[in-house]
Amino acid sequence: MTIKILLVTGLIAVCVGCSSKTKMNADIEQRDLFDGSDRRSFEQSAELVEGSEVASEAELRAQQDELKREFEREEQRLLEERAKLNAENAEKQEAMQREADIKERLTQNDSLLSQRSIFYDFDSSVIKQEYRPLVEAHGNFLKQYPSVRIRIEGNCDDRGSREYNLALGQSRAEQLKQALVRIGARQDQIDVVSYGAERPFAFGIDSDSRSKNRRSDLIYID
Amino acid sequence: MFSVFRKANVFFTFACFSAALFCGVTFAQVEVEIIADEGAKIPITVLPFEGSGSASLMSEIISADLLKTGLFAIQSVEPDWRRTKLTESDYPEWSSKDVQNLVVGKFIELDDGRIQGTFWLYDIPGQAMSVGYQIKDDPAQIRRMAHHFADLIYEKLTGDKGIFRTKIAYVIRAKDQSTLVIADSDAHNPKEIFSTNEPILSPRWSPDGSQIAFVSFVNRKAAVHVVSVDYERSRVTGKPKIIGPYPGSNSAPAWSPDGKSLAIAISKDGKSNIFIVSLEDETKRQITNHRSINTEPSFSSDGKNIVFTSDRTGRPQIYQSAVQAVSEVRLTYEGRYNASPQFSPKDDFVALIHYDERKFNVGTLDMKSGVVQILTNGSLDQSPSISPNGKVIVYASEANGRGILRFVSKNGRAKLRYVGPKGDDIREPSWGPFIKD
Repeated sequence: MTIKILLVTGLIAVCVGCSSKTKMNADIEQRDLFDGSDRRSFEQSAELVEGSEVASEAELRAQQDELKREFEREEQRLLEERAKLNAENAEKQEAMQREADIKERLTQNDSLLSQRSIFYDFDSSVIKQEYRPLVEAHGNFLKQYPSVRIRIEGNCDDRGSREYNLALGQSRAEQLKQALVRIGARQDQIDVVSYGAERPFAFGIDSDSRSKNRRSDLIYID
Repeated sequence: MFSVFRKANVFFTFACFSAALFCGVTFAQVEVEIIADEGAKIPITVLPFEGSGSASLMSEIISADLLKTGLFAIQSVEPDWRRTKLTESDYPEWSSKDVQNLVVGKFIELDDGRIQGTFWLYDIPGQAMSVGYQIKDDPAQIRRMAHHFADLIYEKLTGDKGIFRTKIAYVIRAKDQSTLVIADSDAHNPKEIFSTNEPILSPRWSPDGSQIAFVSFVNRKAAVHVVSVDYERSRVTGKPKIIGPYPGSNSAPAWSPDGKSLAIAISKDGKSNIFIVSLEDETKRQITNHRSINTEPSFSSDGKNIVFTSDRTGRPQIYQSAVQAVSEVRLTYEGRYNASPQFSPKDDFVALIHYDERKFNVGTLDMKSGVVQILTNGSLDQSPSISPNGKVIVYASEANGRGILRFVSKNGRAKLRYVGPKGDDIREPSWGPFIKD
C-alpha cells in the first residue's frame, strides 16, 4: 500500500515537471514568432545597440527567476499534496486498524465486552452493583469508538401484566442507555427497544428461567 | 329419573362430540367447575328438543350455557325423554316433580335446506308460558340458534342480558408465530383473523364489534394496529392498519365508547404516558405526564374518565384520571402490584390483576367501597376482560406450562377452564360486545 502511494506521488511529480517544461517551450516559440516577423530590424538593432544585450540578459535572468519561483511554488504544492495524501493514507490505515481493534475487542471471549446481558430483580429496572464493571466497559468502548452503534433490547419475565412489562422493558433499556451515556457514549450511538415478556430467552416457569428473562441485551450493530 | 346437582365442586366435561359435524376442525374441550352456592341458584329443567338430527344438541348447548354461569341448578333428565309445548293439564305433573322452570323445544330441517328451532320456557308454579320463540336459519348457525335461546332464557330468569352469542378474541402463540383468533364465547368455532411472525398482544374490540385494535411489532418497535372484522361471522374484512406510529413504543390500546378514538401508551425517553389518538385524523392529546410508567388505559362507559396502571410510586398501582382535566386519583393501596385495570360496563367495578405473596390473581376493585376482592387462585393469572353484561371475567392462565383461558363469574362462584385444541398456547383474551338483535 505504502509503495503504491509513493508511486502515485512520483507520477504526479513527473507530470508537474512536464507541464512546466511545456510552458517554457511555449515562451521560446512565442519569442521566435515575434523575432521572425521582423528579423531585419532585430539584426539592425543588434548591431546598433550594444547595451541592449545587457538588457536582454537581465530580462532573461528575470525570466529564469520567475521560472524558478514557479518551480518552487509547484514543488510546495506537490509537497502539500503528498502530505495530504499521506495523511489520508494514515487516516485510512488508522480506520482499518480501528475496525480491526473493534472487531478484536468485541470477539474476545473472556473480556467484559463479551458480556452483553445484564439481569434484574423482579419489577425493577435498577442496574445492580455487580454489573457496574460491565456497563463501564461498554460505555468506555462506545466513547472510544463513536462510530460504533448498539441496540439495547429490554426484556421481562412472564409474570404480571404484559403491557406493564412492555413499558418496564423499555425502562430497563432506557436506564442502561443513560448509564452508558453518563460514561461517555453518545445518545445517537444507542437505540432502545422493548420486547416486554414476549421474547423469552428461557421458556421455563421456574425461578432460574425467569431470572434469565429479566434482562437487557446489548446488541452491536454491524 | 332426575338428578339434581347440589354438591360442591362438581366437575363436568362437555366435549364437542355431536357437534363435531358443525364445528369442523374444532374440538374445544371445556371443563366446568361450579363452586356451590346453595341459596342463590335458579332451578331449571331443559328437556331434549323434539325432532331429528341435531335436536338433542340444542338442549345440550342451552344447558351448558346456563350451567356455566353458576346461577342455575340444572335438573337433568333421561336423554331420550322428549316433550314439546305444554297444555294446561301438564302443569300438575311437572309441579309434582318439583320442577320450577321448564324448557321444551322442537327442531326440524326445512325443505328449503334451512333449520328451524322453537322453544318454550314455562313457569310451572305460575302455570304460564314465560317465553316462546322461533328461529329459522342456515344449518351452520345451529350453535348460534341454541345460544340465542339460552340468551332469552337467561334474560327472562335473571333480568340481565345474556352473553352466549358474544365473541372472544385471543392470541395463539406458536414458536415463531402469533395468531389473532375470534371464537364464540364458549370457545367453539375459532377462526383465524391475522397471523404474524411478531408477537401479538392486547387485542381490544371496538364498541360496535366491527374492529379489533391490537399491538404487534414493526421494525422491533411495538405499534398499534386496527383490523376490520365481521363480528357475527368471525371473519376478517380488511388488512390491519397501523395507527401512527408515533415515535417510541406504541401499545395498550383502549377504545373510547364512541369508537372514534383510542387511548394508547407511548413509551419514549425513559417514560411511558397515555395519549388519546383520534382515528379520524390521528392527532394525539396527552393525558398523563409523568417520568414513570403510565399504561393500560381503560375508558369509563361515558368516556369521561380512564383508569390506568402507573408505577410513579415505584410499584404499579391503579389510578383514575378525568379525560378533559388533570385530576389523577390513586385507587389501589393493597398489595405491592396491581395492574391491567378494566372498567366494568356499568363502571361499578374495575377488573384487575393483583400480586401478593408470590401469586398473580384476577380480582375486582369495587368503585364505591374501594375494596379489592380476589376471584381466582392460579399463580399466573393475567389479562382480565369483562363480559358485556358485567357478570363474567375471562382471563389468561396456564396449565402444564402453556396458556389457557379461564372464566370466573363476577361473584367468584362459577369458574370455567377452557383448554384449546391441539395444545395451543392461548393468551390475551378480549370479550366482544353484545350482538345487536
